[in-house]
Amino acid sequence: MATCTIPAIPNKDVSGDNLYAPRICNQSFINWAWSAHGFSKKYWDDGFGYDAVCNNTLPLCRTLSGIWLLNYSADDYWNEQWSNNILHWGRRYVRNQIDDLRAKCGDGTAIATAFSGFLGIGRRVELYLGFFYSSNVPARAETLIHEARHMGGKSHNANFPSGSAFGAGRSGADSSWGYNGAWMYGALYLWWFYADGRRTTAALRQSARQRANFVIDNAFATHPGFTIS
Amino acid sequence: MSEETGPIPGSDMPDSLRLGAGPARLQFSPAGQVLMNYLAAINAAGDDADERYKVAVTGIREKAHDVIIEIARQENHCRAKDYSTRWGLIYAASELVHPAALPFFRSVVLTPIPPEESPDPHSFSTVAEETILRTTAVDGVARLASGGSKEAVEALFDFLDVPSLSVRRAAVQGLMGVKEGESLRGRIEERLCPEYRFLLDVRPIDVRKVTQITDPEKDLSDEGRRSNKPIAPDLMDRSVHRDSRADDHKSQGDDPPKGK
Repeated sequence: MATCTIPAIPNKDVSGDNLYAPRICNQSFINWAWSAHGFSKKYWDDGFGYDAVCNNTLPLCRTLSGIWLLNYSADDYWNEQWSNNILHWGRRYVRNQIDDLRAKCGDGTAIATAFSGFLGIGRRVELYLGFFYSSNVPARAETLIHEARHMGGKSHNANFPSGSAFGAGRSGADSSWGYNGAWMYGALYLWWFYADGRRTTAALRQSARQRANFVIDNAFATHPGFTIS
Repeated sequence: MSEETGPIPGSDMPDSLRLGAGPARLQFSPAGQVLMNYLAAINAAGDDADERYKVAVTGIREKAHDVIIEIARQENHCRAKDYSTRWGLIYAASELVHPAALPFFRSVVLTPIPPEESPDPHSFSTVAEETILRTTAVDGVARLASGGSKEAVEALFDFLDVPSLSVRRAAVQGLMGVKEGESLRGRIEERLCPEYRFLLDVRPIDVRKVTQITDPEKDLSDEGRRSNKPIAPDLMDRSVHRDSRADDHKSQGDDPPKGK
């Protein structure tokens, strides 16, 4: 068992935690999200927030904020048909793919890892301190999309290209936008959130635009050739 | 962030999280207080959120010269890894839409990006976070440039030399976005090293024009395809249309936590 400490917490107005935390503090939503994503007390207790689900200093509330954003940012959020855009069905994809969501310490900077059932490790997604405390709320939603895509069986298939901020030649890139990998899923979600996100703010949408553009520039072996207008 | 005992990736053992030190109480100058009011309003909720934001942005714009000094001071004193707060400060500077912000933007963009500190940049990258701060600053400059500031245009040209693909891309996009930006193409091409000239052909487009995921159901795992979990409960303003499955929240082994 690892023991870790809550780091200094970024401004909760800027990260969106003060906006979304009151929204998640709703028993009906908590009950649904808990079951639909496979939370369990064992992994969300002992400091991670089980006993204080509405406290936006703690990981559980901050995770539920990302899930709330994922579920209610389309104008007609209830319309989650696969024929719609990812702002609508992203939530459905995530809950279908993630059956076991765990809070862990990680190495102090790591965000998340998807275990898709290989190497004798059961299918699950682990979220780490970086997810809870380095990411703002839209970035947490993007991480859930990214990891869900890995749970869907799509690994990264290329090395980062020359000039990539992720480190040229390192593994972990997707070959192209058309590969439909985890980077594309995440960037496309952020892009839609920027373009048409509702029940949010201009600042959070702008932060999503910056992050999506960064992914588009740096995470594909071949630059897609476009940027967000 | 301290790691008292080493993590074991993939371990089934639960971890434990302890409270850290609380935030220090800060004293603010009048400009600092105006800035804090702005940061509190940028993601405000409620019926009066728009009005609060308008008041807050008017407040920082009325004191732009003092506020930009405060922004620079706070950004400088922020923990380097407090990327969220630093981003908010740079975004605030861009919302000033004031030439007084230009030296601050230049300083942010031209400060070399520190070497990667993360052992696994795919998961978390300090270079990524630093880059996003800089592209946000570049966009602040682009906003000034599109408003007619010649100094801002020159700053964007200077940013073409920054060794970052994203910073260069944002600078090119900013230059091409100014009035008669197309006339700058030759100068941009001259300034960019050959391997980055493709950035002139990177098209700013709307999300509706980009290749979408046409059959996401196909991208599900077998387990995901079989999944039949209830949809999220409706928000209050639509609860009359609630899908009854949303109340079917049988837990997988233990009870959900209790909110207020």
